[in-house]
Amino acid sequence: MDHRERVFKAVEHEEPDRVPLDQAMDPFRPDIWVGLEKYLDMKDREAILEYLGIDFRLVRVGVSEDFKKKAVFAGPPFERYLKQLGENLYEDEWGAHYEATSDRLHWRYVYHPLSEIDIDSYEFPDPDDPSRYAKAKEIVKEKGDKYVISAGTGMGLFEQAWALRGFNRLMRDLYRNVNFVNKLLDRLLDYKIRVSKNFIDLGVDIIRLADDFGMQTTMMISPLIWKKFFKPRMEKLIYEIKSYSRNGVYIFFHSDGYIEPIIDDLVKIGVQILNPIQPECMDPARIKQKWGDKLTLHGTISVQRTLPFGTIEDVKKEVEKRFKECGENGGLILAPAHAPQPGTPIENIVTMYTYAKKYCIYKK
Amino acid sequence: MISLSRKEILEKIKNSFLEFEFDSTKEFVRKAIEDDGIDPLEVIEKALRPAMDIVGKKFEEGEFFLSELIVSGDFFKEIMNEVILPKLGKGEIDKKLGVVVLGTVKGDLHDIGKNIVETMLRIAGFEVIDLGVDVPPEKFIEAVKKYNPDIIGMSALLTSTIGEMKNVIDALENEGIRDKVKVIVGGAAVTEKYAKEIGADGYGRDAIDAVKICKRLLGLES
Repeated sequence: MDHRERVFKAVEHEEPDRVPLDQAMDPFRPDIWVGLEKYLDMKDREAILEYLGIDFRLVRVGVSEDFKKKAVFAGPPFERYLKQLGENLYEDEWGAHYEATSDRLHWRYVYHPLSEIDIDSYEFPDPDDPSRYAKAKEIVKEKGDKYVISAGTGMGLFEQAWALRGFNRLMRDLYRNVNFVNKLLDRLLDYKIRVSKNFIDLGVDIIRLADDFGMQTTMMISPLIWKKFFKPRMEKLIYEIKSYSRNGVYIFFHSDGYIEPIIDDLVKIGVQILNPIQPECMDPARIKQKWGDKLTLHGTISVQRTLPFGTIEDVKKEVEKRFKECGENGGLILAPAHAPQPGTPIENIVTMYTYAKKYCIYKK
Repeated sequence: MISLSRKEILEKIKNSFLEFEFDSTKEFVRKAIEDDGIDPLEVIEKALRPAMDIVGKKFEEGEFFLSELIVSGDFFKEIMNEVILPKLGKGEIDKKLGVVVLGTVKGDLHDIGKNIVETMLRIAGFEVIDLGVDVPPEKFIEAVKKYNPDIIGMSALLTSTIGEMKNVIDALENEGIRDKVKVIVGGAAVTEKYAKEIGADGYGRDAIDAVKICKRLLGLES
């Protein structure tokens, strides 16, 4: 069975030859890539993905040619085009500022453009600029016949809104500045619809929407606030994607952490693949039981416990457990629940994939 | 117009706060102090803090979420700064339950949790010194020497940075000041078991838990 058939069977809730495999929402970090190359003694990253049995290839929205001219390719931890403002200070296309940690392994926002600029005079980047999709177009052309192409549409409505406005400020706005929030989210919705349509035009298979609403044991915003501001807009976005593609793409939704109170609604508005179902936050077996007939579980392998701290045996046990509890009738795609962090034993990551290829086989 | 009893006025403030009626709550507080002659400290102790206790309880029970915790914490601070503090004498502001130094450990930038712990501790009556994010052990040591806190609190979300918590505890040992201060830890990657392993004095699952633990460590609550 080829990569594409395997994945499509699984998301249509039929049993393929084996459980499909993918990377996390964010692909491997540069430090993990170096580890994989060394451990496997392979240089070609494409060959490594093939060896690990990864059935998907990821395309993302790039920056515009115009921005690229003003930007530098910022190394770790950014690995993207950013305008350099100072030794450790960068600006993205939206005007948000970033700073790296002392060990240059992670970064954070230090300035949010809509903290001071009026929303009416604030210009968004152009979502239709073809240069943003040049790289994606190439990948679809080269790999689209062999692999399933997932298109990452960038930050979701909530995340982009707080990146622009500031986290606590946006939290406050949700209760005390409703007109501003509606205006901002409507503009972001329009932007997202246009980005998604551009990807559909390229012929991608999956549109990935990503918005972290979850935390370890609870949600960042209440389900009521989610229903008031985000659900109707996500519903519109998914409707636009579905109708524009004539039902030709699958809808993938990512949120870290615990989001159980909104899964019913997510299913209702058309989410078909849910990622990452962090096993420390939501029990994948329960999610399968409750929504498994409509929802494909994507992810589910622990990056807070098993991959970083477990033994190879622990990794195998988790793969087995997941397949037994969540693999029935397809609807399961295994991946690390988040990009494995620096220091994660490479043999654990490799074992997750190679063991799943061997063990997660559907009997005919 | 029927005038309300003191108890009823305070109850009205509390309820309006819990309904997220921002403007009217502020107005009720102003009226209670200016027109009804209620002591500002009494408004804090009998209306605002009880309201925040209920927010915390609802958060623990899953009825309220982080957004409500942040908004009410912010609003509490706003009422304090705009309405209550201008009416208080200096001596009245200085009463503190204890001093807590907080920071997200080296290599980690995640501070949503730490910030909410800060707000909740302040509301409970602690003085909080926030060292920010990506805080190396030396900074924690420096702060302990400078502020002589009762407690230091460390936060980490990443599995790759929780080891820094141990480094801070080791540094406290090396400086010979480990017994001068209680250490509490929290954050998504931290577990109670891990906290015990590294010799922390307490582990908090969330901000509400953190306040309880700080009170317990200082013998203010059993």
